[in-house]
Amino acid sequence: MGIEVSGECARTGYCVRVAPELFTLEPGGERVSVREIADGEDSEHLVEAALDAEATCPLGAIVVTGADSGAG
Amino acid sequence: MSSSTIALIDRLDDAMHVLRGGSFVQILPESGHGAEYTAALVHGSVLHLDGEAHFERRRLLSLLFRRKVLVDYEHTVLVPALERISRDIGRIATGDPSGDEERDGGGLRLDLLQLCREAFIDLFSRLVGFEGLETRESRAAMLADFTDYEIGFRAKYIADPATAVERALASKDRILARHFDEPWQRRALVFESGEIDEALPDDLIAILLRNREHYLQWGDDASWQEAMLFMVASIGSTGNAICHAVADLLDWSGEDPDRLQQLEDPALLSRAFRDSVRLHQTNHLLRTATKDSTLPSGMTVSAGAIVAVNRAAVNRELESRSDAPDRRFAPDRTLEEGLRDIGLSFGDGPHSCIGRTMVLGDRGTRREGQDEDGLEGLAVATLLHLFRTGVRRIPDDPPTRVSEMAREMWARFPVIMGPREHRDRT
Repeated sequence: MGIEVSGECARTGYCVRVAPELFTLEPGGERVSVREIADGEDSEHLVEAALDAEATCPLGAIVVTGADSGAG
Repeated sequence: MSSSTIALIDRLDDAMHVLRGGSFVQILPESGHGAEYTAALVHGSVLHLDGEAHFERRRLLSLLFRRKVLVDYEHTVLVPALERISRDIGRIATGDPSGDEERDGGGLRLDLLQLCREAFIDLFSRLVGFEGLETRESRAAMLADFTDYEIGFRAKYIADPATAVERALASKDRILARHFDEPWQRRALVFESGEIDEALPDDLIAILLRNREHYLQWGDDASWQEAMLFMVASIGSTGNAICHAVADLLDWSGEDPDRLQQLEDPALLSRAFRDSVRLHQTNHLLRTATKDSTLPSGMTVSAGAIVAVNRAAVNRELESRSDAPDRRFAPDRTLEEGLRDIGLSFGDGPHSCIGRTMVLGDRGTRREGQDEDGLEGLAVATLLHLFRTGVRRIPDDPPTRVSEMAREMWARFPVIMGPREHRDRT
């Protein structure tokens, strides 16, 4: 599973609240970072959290690939 | 600045500060400026919430907007609806006597606005769970009521908002009685029996029932207000935007053979829709300041003040910050790095339109090899069908707008549609 945060990000912080295990709002709130997913780490919980964050982001700034998202 | 005045925001950086920052909330009904009228239609919907409540609501609704769900909507609902309409047009235009459409040369005279709305009914019904919209008659009756509802929904921009909202509430009653109440009651019985699958909500009614306590915080009306908001967005706003895009593209192409050919290129249509939708957002986004703020331009706003984000002005700023500053509509425009081509067309910040990916698709973020699973988006899918079906204007029957509305809203958009070989483009 791959997760990217695009330039559309408005730093609403919704992803951080939906999936704190994946997303972090950097100090100062200027940037959202996403942690690397190690090979074999794609647990059902993490995939679900990533897809939840992808759909909840108001700006559509999160792209999840390689999960059961239909995104390839 | 006192709380009785409105601060007009017409710069992109100031607008982003207002819409993205935590110092402004949606205008309250008691603040006036038309919000006191439209509250009856939107008070309990996601449009009206802020802060924690807004986050909770967006998260509930996000189940309807997962990418996999959107791809399914597009492939199994939207595209078949568009293909059905294209088939009907081709069949009638080539001689089938059924229907009451007026023929013109090799095509049919149609109202593009109504055609788009009809095409989007299936998608809306699937999204929300409305029923009883299978026949042509039921769709026509619903769309007649919908027009009144949409005008009331946008009552901030008309001279007599009280009457418009009154008519909207009456039309809402008819729409709900015909298409919402029965599936709601039937599903409520199933839900109360505990038989409904908790893991797979598949439309808005299921979400409303499953989260009844959440919605009741805003009263009994919140459920239908949410459903009707979805209707205005998916049928009204999108139909209006498609008409604008068709007009812009026909003006842009003229008789240029190369450009005419590009009208069936999805990549061009995507860029064109994004530039067109930027041009035609003529309403202001109203917010209330919750604390004293200084905007990037240096403008100060006091707690309690109302600000109006002038979307038209902000979106036009993008032109001057592009390689095509002298052209209003330019699908080949390249912007300064870091700017979004759609500007504030779908809002910005937490209140960005929840359906934006459904409309815009994922062409901008799609990777190599993903085209087969791609989400084309409602806009491009519709434009592609329209141009393949040979849509063109009628010179002696120009489109008209809703006269009492201070923002751009089409009343009718006459076009001729028919097989390309008969096309007499104007």
